[in-house]
Amino acid sequence: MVTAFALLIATLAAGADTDAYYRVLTLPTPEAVPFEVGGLETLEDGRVAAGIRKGEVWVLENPYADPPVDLDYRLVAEALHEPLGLYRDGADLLLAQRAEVTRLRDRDGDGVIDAYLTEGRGWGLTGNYHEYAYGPERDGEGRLWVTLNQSMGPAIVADDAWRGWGVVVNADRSITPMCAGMRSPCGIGTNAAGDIFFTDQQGNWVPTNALHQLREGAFYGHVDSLKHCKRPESPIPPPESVVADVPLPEARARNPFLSLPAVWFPYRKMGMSATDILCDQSGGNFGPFEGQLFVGDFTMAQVNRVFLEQVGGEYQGACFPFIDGLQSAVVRMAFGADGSMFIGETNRGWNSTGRTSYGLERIVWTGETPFEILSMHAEPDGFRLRFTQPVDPTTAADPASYTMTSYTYRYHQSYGSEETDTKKLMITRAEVSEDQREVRLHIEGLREAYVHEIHAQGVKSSEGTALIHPEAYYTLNQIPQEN
Amino acid sequence: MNLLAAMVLALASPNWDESPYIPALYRLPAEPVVWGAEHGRVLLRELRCGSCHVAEDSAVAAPPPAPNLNGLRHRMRADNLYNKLDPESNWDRMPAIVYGDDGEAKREALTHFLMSDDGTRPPPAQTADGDAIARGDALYHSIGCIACHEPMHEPAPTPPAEDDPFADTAPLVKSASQLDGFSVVLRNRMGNTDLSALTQFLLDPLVVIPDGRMPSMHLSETEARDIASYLLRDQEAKPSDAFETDPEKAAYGRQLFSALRCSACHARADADLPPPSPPWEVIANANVGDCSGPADYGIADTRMTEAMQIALAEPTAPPSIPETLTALNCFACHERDGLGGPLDYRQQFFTTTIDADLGDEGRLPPTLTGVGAKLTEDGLRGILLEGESVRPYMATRMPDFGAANVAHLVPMFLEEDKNPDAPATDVSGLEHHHRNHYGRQLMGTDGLSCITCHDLSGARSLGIPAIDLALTPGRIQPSWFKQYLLDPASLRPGTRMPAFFAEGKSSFPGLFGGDANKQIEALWIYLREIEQTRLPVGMEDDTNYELVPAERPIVLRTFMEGVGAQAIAVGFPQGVHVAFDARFPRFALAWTGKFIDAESTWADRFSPFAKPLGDVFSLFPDGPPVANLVRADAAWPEENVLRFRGYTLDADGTPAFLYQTPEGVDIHDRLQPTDESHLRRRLEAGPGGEMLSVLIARAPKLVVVEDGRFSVNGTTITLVTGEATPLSTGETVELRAHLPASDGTRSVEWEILW
Repeated sequence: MVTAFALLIATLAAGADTDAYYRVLTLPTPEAVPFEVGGLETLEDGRVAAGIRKGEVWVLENPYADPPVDLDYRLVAEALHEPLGLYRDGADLLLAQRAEVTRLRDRDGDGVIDAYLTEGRGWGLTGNYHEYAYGPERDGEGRLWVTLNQSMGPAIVADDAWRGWGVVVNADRSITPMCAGMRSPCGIGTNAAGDIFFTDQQGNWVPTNALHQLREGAFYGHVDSLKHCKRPESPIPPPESVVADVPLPEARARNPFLSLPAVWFPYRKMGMSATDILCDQSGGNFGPFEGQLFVGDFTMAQVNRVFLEQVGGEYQGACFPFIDGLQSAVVRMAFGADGSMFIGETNRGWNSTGRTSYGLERIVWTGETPFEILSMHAEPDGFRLRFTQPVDPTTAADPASYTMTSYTYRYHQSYGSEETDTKKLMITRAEVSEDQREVRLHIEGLREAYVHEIHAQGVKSSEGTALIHPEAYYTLNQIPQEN
Repeated sequence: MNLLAAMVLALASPNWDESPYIPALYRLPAEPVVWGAEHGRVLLRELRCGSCHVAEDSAVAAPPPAPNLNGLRHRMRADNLYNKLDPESNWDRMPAIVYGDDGEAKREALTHFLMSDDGTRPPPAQTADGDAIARGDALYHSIGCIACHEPMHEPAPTPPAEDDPFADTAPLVKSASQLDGFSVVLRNRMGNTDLSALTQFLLDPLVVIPDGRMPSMHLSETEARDIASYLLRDQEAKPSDAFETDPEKAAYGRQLFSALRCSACHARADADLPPPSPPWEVIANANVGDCSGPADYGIADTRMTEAMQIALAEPTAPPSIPETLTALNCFACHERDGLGGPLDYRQQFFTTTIDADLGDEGRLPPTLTGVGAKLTEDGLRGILLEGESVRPYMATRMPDFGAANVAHLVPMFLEEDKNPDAPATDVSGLEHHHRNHYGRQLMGTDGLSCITCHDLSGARSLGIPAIDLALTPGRIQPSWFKQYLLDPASLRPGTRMPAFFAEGKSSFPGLFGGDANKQIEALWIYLREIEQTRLPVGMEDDTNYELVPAERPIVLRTFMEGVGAQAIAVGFPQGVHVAFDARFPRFALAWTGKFIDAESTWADRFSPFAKPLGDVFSLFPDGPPVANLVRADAAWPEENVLRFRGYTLDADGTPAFLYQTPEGVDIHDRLQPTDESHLRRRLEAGPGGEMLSVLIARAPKLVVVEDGRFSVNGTTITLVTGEATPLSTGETVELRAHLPASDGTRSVEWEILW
């Protein structure tokens, strides 16, 4: 245990220095208010609204003050039950409370909410503290999604319908259960195409943190939620049995209804509890990652980055570290009107590497492009890395500049899974593209349903600098076929 | 020989009258007769030999600056200056420089120059009130002046400590007057100055004495004037501006000031730099004892000259920590590695500002042994450079010595005191979920009860006001914190801090199985986040989370006993409170008195169900408040199939609850107390083709008082609009209202009095 801890501390201390590329501004929050952010949304006029766990919504009138002093906060809504989302819908705000999605409306236009209208309800709530509801978030088809934390521990009231499920809110304010098997689906977000995703957090049935696409009829792994398949509204027929305590490839083969995530976030290496999902649609104002997803992490107080591609009609892709050392657990993220990223934070109930219990930060791109692996694409016999800057052709073409391992996890009820069946892969050839932005890696021994971890530690940019983050983790659910 | 004995012997034989006096020189460790290089380096620096003797890579190349002579006319009288320049005069570390037949003329010329108007402004005029001397006396003898200067009377009598560790040491000093030999004596020298000048000097001594040998004591203007009044209490008033300068003499004095190399040590804006002096090597190879001209330091103690020669023979070395602590006389108050600390007689003047027994830790400045392993860089900088004070109970003040004189100590302490054996301390906070609550539990009276003695974040402790623990994470190193808690006496011998973790086991086994490491780390995390979390049990105001509706209603959505997981509690200023159940829409609970405690909803990780704080009384019948009955007298349904639709807030903040029948008829249900025993409820339904029935009350017995007025369960119900009829159902009577089918809204409104 001591060794494990020493290792962890070393990992934390080794956080890469991103200061030259991204400035982190700490925003003072209202005095004497536990500003434990659970929801964050930029309003149409650029002001930023934050929901806090105590049950209030505050609007930051001058969010872009730099330096962030004399910030002007306004309390606009209160008496909400642990709201963990915030979504702008015209002039209204929508948010999930423990028991429902609520529409917040300012009827008299004085800036303060005076109608708390039920937008959708119908899931259960037993009174167990884990029973959070996250969202809502609208997908490209206009469906309004909420994810429901699995109930864990004693129930006070017998009312646990649809816990561990993703649901959509209907126009008649009922809900339709869509997909099951979630544990702590703390984050929901869409990609640029309007497809919608959620994150889940490592624990029982969840070997490590994951990014899944939300789809009707999907089952993501947490078995406790399957009891609700017997309800008539369930789109998933009750499975006869679930084969567990096997590695993921076997679990997938033997449980055809089991959906693997688009991205695994290897535990500790890429955070310890994934949270919000935010697509970079800043038009380049946040740096070179337009169209990619950012994923927050609670415990490690950091933000990771995700590149997705579709292989065989399914999303899969890679995750990369983006920024660490934030002041508290990252729970919510939102892009401001200027393309800077607001981070809403709270540690309450768990823990993080941060220094504070809660808070609000803003990440501003300095305009300098960091030298990073921009994307990682699967190929039939390897991977293709694209970089944010031209690479030095000599180091980039040297297979010794890269190391790769692959591993998978076990699907089981136990809390989390170690990496299993780890193998080192041979990189036989590395070809640099003409524009020097891409490297095609030929690799022996790719394995499906394995995470492929690469370290491009030897690659230099054309200016001779090393990668800020030389590592990437590709979840290879399917190896693409030759065209 | 132990260090204490060495100290005593070293103190026994200084040649006070004949040699320049450097107060703490005698606190460096040494055999009684021979001093070493350390003493020599201190002397070379303190006598500022390097001001004249150029030596680029010598440790004494940059001696501390001498007193600033700008504006001297405002703080010193001309006759005093003239007398002090007499080579026979013994003037601290100032060498005699004016000799010979024309000595008197030169002294006069220098006096005219230094007393001439250099454009500086006189200090603001001060006058003291009648109690100033008494207050100044108290300050002088308590805030630390007497650490370096002589006490001017005996200390207030204190009962002798029975466990005095020095009891068997022969006391070196038995009365205040004997301390003269160990002090920069102020007595009989105050005639130099006057109240206004001395007040200004005390307010910021570093302006005049930039080398920090007289530090700033962080005095207010009144305090400075009080101390000045006390020091000048016997002084005959003499005007300081009676002297008229002669321009010719002053011009000659200005030449001399440079030629005699006064300007090598002293700043004076209207003076020229001195001519070059012999290089250092010439001096280094000469006999230091020959320092008799042109600047004669009058060194009579041969140990001094010997020590300087030893130092000069040694390789260059920057000032060691003990050398700096000696030069600044930090040792007068602080002990480090067995050196220094207040002399046992002097100790008696160190007191607390409050009438609480904190032991010696409350009155004596802390040890500096291992201080670089105890304090963080910020902590050291705070104390040395930023005037930070963390012990408000201690009368003695940590002075400001000037950043230029002490900043170098910060990295030196950190480096020299580095403790490779410090226990590993995880301050990541990752070990435990909900981490700062564990530290909170330990800190409070339901844990180790640290707050019995320690202040916390400005809140008073339950007992003595020991150091505020909220300061800890900013200034203390985590590993020192752990080591200290594991074995307090190992780091602070004689401390009153109890050992809560003897042998690595916590005296509070109720958390982490009593694991000391985990508990200490939890305390650290709690302290680090104290500003964003709650004070511990025992210190926190119990009413912290109680919601008290004062002017407007307060709404709280919560898990609630008697209602369920979807309760919406509404507290009214009238002292009547209700809770609505959003799962099975109905008013479910009413109570009077205090409203509710939001702690479980807002702060507790486990979100236990909240309870009404007042007296619950029966006001609402079970079952749905509205039903679509087959017949007006059909049995009231038990199942509540209504659907919650939210609430709106009136201008006064009163919520109107919204719900819907399965047929889609909107119901608007609003309730408001009018005083502490009255409420009015109005239930309005939207258009619909069915009759809707409203259940107003249900009781074993119902009395019709008059038309539209009923006595039920000890309450009186009066219909305001609409009609209601009692219906006997066998065991109970129900009071129902009926809203006929309508294209518009329909409503019933009633008052309840109890």
